[in-house]
Amino acid sequence: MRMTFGRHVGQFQNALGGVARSPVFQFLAATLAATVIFFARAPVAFMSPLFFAEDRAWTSQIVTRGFWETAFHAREDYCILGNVIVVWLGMQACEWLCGGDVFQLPRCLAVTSYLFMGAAVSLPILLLRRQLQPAFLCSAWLLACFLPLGIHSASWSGFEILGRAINLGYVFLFIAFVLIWHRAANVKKAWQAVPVDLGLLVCTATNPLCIAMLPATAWPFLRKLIGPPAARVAVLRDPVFLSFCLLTVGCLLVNGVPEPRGPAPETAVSHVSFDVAVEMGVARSLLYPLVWPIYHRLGTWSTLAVAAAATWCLWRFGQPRHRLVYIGGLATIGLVSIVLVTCRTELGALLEGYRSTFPDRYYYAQNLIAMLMAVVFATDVAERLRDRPRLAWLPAAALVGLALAAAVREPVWRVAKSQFLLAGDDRFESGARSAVRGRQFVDAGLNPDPDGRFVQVTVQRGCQKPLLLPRDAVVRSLTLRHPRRDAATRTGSTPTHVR
Amino acid sequence: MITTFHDSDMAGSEHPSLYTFAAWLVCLTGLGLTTVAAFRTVESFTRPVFEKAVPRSGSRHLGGIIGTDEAIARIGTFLWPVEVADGVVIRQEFDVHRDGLAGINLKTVTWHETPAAHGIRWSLQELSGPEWQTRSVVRSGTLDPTEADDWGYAEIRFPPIPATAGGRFALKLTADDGRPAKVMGLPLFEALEPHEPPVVRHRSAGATIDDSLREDGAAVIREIPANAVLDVLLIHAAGGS
Repeated sequence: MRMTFGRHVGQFQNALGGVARSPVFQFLAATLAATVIFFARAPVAFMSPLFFAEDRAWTSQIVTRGFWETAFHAREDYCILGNVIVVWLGMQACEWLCGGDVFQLPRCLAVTSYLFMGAAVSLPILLLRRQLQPAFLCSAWLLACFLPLGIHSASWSGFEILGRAINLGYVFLFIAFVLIWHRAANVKKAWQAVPVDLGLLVCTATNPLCIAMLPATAWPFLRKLIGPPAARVAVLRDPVFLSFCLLTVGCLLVNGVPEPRGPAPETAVSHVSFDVAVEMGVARSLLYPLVWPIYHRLGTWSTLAVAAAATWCLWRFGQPRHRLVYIGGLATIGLVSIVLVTCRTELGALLEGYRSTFPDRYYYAQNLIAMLMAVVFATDVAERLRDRPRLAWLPAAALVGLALAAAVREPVWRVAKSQFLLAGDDRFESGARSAVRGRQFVDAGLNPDPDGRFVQVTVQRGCQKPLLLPRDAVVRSLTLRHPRRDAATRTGSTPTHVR
Repeated sequence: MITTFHDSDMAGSEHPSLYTFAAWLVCLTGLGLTTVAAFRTVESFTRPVFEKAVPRSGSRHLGGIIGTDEAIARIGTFLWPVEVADGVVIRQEFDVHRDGLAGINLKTVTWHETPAAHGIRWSLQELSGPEWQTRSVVRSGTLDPTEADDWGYAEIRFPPIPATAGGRFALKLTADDGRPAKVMGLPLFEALEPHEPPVVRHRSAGATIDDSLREDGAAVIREIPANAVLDVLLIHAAGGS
């Protein structure tokens, strides 16, 4: 009997070990840990239950116009499928986990956004295990979790990135980079290619710059197509190639040809100077996450010198098998930098000559790619130091040290200084109650309608874009919170009278 | 590389998928619980910082006074509202535990409307003597019902009373005779801790009434439940004076 029990325990322990070693479980664990870290870094999205900027507009549009219409037509210049997926997931979480209480919706959106960002930065743990050793995967994860978001400047803007669905679109650039690397290095079969290509399709339908990265996906096939005829035929019969072709067609169908967006009209600057271009494109986009302790001491020529030295080091000390990764990373960052310098000229003035990093949302995806490249370089250096075990751990330790330094340097729970929009817990509820009381009902066309299915809620005073929520859900939520006092709200009569 | 329910580690065992399934269940449950605990821990550290930085509308809106508020009693379920009209007198006693009483927030209802102007006088009485029988008015003023919000707080402010800790006070509201088209009401709630219920009566008659039962112009006399209380927040000036 005891032996049988012991055997069961042993087998269960073996199974536990198998689960703990599983990439999926490690990815989930890393995702959840990153979620908690992001929450600790920017708790205001959860604590202050308001809908931040387009989070409000997109939520309203999903409610009134539906998922697909919002995903593909909310903006005129490009699709926002990924953002809409996150908002929709937040709405589902609110429905299923919070009993449909709409006053929990901002919190659900925040948690979903933290989770999505956590999943994005943990993606290398799932997909790049064969390319990076565990210590370096952990380093990459830590560096991404503690990515500096303007910690040395007065305007820390992590609060508008972490926990906000609106600014998750940028991270799809990093996701696309990881997916393309994984596809080129690890994907050999159709069942592996299809989910990756679906992910890439979502990336391209969220961040138009990802479309420009797609040719990199074709690189392994191009090499074979220009080779001998036998290899050419093999490529054409390869289901992975077929999946890529379908991805390309799907991308064109979904996105069409994206139109470039001009500078914001109110702050339009015709062009940026060379100095500002270097600051935007090289210092802030590429070097900042690695040189943030001395960022404010940089200038144009020192930036170029550091960038040139870094590039030379990548080429000189990096392993040849990783050169395509370096080229791809630098090309991606360069592409985004060119777009920013030419199309978002107004951003240059905000950097204030290396004194500020705001708005960090425009740069954090490039920074994540730069950090991943730094980790790859560290693995290459460690490989070169293989014969000197005492030194081989230094690259990983240096990266972990950099991540921890960023974590220590950034004050946690920054609430008062940087958050320009703060609301108490009861503001949203109060606004909804006022809207129902004032019978601010609209129809699907947003026209005032006493019998309209939607309530127009003012979450913040002075905000031009109100929040639109299903009338039934709002009334139900009010009633759930105060069952008796909102009987009147539900029926439209006076408060409860007792006979 | 991905572990499936038929992991090779389990080959040869009697129920490999069962063990793997149980292991996944245990690991995912542990992961979920750990995450929730970590999330809640961060929230518990963050919440006070946030509360300090963000004034809450209503309960913490101190109307220009930098200070703190406290409820006279924890409240539960809403019972019914008492209309402040027709010469009704409402009196709510409460204990004060801190010095520097400088205001009172009183929850109101307006039936989705803006109440019409109507005379409402308030007075703050300090109670003393045996059984708190001696009453002296220490502050008084008027309340404008047109500024009342539905389920909001009417703000009564007065110069801070320095020594209030340990004292018993009563807030008395007296409505003028007559009934405006749109009235303001005070919602009664179930008290979640022992507390004196408010006294509601006509100014002319001594009877206790609930005028929310007024229909066809006739008031119905009704006892206020012993566990009822008004939603009253006491505002204290910082530093106690």
